[in-house]
Amino acid sequence: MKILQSNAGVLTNYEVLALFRSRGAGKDPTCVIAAVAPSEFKVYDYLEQTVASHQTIEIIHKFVEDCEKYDLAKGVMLNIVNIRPSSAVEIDPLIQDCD
Amino acid sequence: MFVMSEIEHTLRLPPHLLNRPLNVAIKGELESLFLDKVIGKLGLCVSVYDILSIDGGFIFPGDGASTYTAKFRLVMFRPYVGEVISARLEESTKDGLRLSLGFFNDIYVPVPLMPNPYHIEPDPEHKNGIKWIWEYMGENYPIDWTDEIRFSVHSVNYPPLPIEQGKDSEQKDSEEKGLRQKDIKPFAPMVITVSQQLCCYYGLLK
Repeated sequence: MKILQSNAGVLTNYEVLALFRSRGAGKDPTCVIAAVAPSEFKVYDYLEQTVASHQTIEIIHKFVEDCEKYDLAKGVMLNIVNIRPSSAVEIDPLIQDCD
Repeated sequence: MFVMSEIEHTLRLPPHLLNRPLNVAIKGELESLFLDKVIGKLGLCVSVYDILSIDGGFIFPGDGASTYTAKFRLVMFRPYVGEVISARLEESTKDGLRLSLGFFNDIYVPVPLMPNPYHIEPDPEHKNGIKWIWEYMGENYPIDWTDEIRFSVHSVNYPPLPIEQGKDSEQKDSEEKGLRQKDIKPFAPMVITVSQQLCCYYGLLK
C-alpha cells in the first residue's frame, strides 16, 4: 500500500453526508439494500444528528463568499460550517482574537 | 473532521468475483480491506470515495486470481488540532471523561484538560463512576449523560501495535494497517485527546 497524497482535500460534514445520501443511506430503514456498509451507517447516523443534515451546497458556497472579507483561516471556517454557532457565546472559542 | 486521502494499493481479486463488473468488484474488495480500519497517520477509514484508476490484471503463475494495482481516494476521519466536535459522554471516571461519536469511541478528556474550576462527587448509578461538576460564576453545571459535549481537539495519537508473545500469527496480518486486535484490555489504534474548554460556554446556554 502506498500513500500518494495524505491530504487530497478537506470535506465538510455536509459533503460526507451527501455522499452517503447519494448511495441511498437515508431511504432504507432496514439498512440492508443500500450500498452502504454498517460502519458507514454509524457515521451517517451521527451526521444526521448534526446541523449538516439541514445544509445545502448553496448555503455553504454563499457562506464562504460572505466570509472572504473577514479573512478567516480555513480551519475556522470549517469549524463554523460544521457547528453553526448561533450566538456569540458559541463563536468565541472558535476564533482567536474575536472582537 | 473528514479528509480525503489518495492511496495506491496492489490487491488480489478472488476468482469468485470474476462475474462482476471490474469497478464493482474492486470497490467491494477495497471496502472489505480498508473500511472501519485505522491507517497509521491517516486516520480511520470511513468510506471509499472513488476509484481513480485500475491497472494490471496480471495473473501470477500458480494463482487463479488476478492482481490489480488501483489508485483510489478514501474518506478518512482525521480531525485536526483545534477542530470543534460535539459528542456524547460514554464514561466518566477519576482519570477524566471518555466521549463517543457513535462510530468512534476513543476520545479522552484527561483531568488536566477539564474545565477549571470543578469538583467531583461519586456517581451512585455507575460502578467506579465519578460525576464531574463545573463551577462557573457561582453556578454548578454537572456533566451529565444526556448532554451534548462540545470540545476542541488537543492531539491525535496513533499508539503502536502491542507486541505480545503468543500473538505471532496475528501480527502478520496487521502490519501496516493498524488493525484492531482483541486483547484483554481493548487496544485503541487511534486516540484523540481533547480539551473541554468549550463545554464551559455550552453550560451557559442551558
